Amino acid sequence: MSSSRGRRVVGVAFALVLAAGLAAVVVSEEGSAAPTVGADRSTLPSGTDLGEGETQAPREQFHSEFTGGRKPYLVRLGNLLFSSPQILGPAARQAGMSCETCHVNGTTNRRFFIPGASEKPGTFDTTSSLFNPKTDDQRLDALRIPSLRGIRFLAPYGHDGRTASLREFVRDVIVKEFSGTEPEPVVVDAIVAYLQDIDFLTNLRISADGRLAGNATATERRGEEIFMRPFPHNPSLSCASCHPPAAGFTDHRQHDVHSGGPERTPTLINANFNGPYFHDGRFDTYAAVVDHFNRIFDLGLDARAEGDLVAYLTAVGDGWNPYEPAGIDDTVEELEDFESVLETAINERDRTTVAFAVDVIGGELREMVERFPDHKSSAFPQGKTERAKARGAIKELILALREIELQASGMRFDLAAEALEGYEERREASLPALHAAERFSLYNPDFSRAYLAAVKTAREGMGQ
Amino acid sequence: MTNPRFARLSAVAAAVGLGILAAAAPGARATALDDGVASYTARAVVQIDRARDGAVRLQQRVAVHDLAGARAAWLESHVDWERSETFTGELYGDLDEAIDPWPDAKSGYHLIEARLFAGDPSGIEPAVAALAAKLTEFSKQIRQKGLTAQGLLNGTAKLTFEIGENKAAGGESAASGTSLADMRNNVQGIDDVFTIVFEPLLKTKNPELAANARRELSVIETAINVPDLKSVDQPTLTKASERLALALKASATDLGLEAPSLED
Repeated sequence: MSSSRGRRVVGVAFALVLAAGLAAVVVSEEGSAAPTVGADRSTLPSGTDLGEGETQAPREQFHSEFTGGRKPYLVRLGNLLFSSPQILGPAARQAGMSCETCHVNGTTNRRFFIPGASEKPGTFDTTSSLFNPKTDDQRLDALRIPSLRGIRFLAPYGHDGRTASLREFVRDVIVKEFSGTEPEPVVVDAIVAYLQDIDFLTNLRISADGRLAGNATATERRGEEIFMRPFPHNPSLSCASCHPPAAGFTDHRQHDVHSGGPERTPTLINANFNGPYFHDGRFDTYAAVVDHFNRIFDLGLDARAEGDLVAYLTAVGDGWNPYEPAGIDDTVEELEDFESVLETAINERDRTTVAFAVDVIGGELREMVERFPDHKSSAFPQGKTERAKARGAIKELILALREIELQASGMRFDLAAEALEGYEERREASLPALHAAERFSLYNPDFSRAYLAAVKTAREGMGQ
Repeated sequence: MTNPRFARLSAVAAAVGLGILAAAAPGARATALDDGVASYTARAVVQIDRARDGAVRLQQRVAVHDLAGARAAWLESHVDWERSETFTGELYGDLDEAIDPWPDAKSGYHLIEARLFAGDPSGIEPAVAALAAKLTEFSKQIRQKGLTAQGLLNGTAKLTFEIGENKAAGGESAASGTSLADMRNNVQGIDDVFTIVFEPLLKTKNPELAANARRELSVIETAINVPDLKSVDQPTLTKASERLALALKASATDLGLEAPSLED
């Protein structure tokens, strides 16, 4: 799932490279809307990349489903709220950003980059003026966007382990980092329930006690031996003393590893998908991390030993089926989860949750529309008719959804329930049109690559 | 936004004797709807003419390498184009695709915009000449073919839905920095069509629906009456645009028209 972004699948990727705000004077008659200097100052600065339009998404492994059950209501509600800009402050709402924008499917967002608030892709300065001027520390000190997989095992929270409670941490992110209003307790409860349901991905390379499984290579086993071995100049320490394999590869404590102050020990589970590494994302690879520790602890590892350790970390950091296609069926499946929350809210006559649900589902649908480039784009005439039908079907769906909100806002919940039925029927009926257009859409990796390249080429031809 | 210019423009249209006949609504004779379409068509002709005139001035300014003048002419022409988007794509699709492609423009406003405001303007003469020619052609065709009530309802509903899209990344006219102005001009166009063509009849047929549509239009106008894109209350704008699109669709029956689709 990805957050709602409107016409930004292409827009953010390209439009923001433009030099905005050049408008000057316009001769305008009789009160027409004359452009003024800087009137297009937008929330997201030029050069922003929110990582939209990916054709693969990180796979979520939910504990409730993995153990044979279904996601409880509170988890589904939490997932919905996690995807809602409405719980954050005005700047995030205006930009259509939610928790999900940074933490795609509860993981990280390796492409995320906002000039002035990121030092490299996958990092973000939570104390910049962008979303809450009151927290602005006047320094660019971006932090790596962490994966939230297995977070229920990973207290304390924050890169420096400053907060013991996940609940308190979630509340602080909403209120302090993103200027949201004080959330209702159920909002925080639901988000925490959602986060606590996100498991680590199964890793068949390691056993239950965190040791390498039987299929490990000799290189990996040599790396494991180095990992467990006491440091030559301080035998009370080893890699494993801070990253104990039997305890989820973290000791839950803070350590100064010459990176600017004490930092909480991160887990190494599924870390292959979590780079860049260290709290500020300074290292892009395991090799760079190993080299750093080799130097600061004078471990005396030669190139082969460093390679062995990297191989071991790669085995520990693996996960089964880490990505899945971000296709139409996957999106619809997720929408069904949100729709079930909507149905419950209608039955409970809860118009606040109805409004949240309609906002999030509508945002997802609007992003879906943008995956089918419209007739104004000249890059790919093939599939134009199919795309138009798909776009039309989704837009009708969005209006059917709005009808639900309209009825619920007037406390006409019987009509809202009828409208929900109509919406669901329309969704089912729209699927053939969506599937027929899928190969001509940004859901198709080949089409997506070709289309984005064509747009880029055209933009370059335009002198941008 | 109401329509302070309406009376004056109608007078202008009458004075120049445009003689345009609006296509009649299905099965209807001279109705209130037909009158509205005729009035709005007169306004539309003036708008397209002004867009054309701006493009011709743009051509002149480019010819003498007057960048500031060229930018001003582009902006001037674009105001009326944006205001006309209630009918350009719906009723004159081929011209619209040549004049206003996006995001990978190989011709039209946005190609020229990028070169004038954010790139190298040298060598844009052919694109500018083509834009002026297309708008001249538009000016001819709209006099011949006019507009229809159904086409205006379809185009207005489509544009209303588009207004709800998020422009946080800078919108379509990011190079010139006029995306917010584009939105305002789009909404002015929607307001014009609703006020002139549909509202009078809808008020008599379904006053509640007419009032609902007017209310949502006011919400949209308030949401974009802000100093910059950053200040747009996006969730409110999206909600109101979808509610207004719903109202326009619902009005079709009362207006004796087909319910508009949101895509061609």
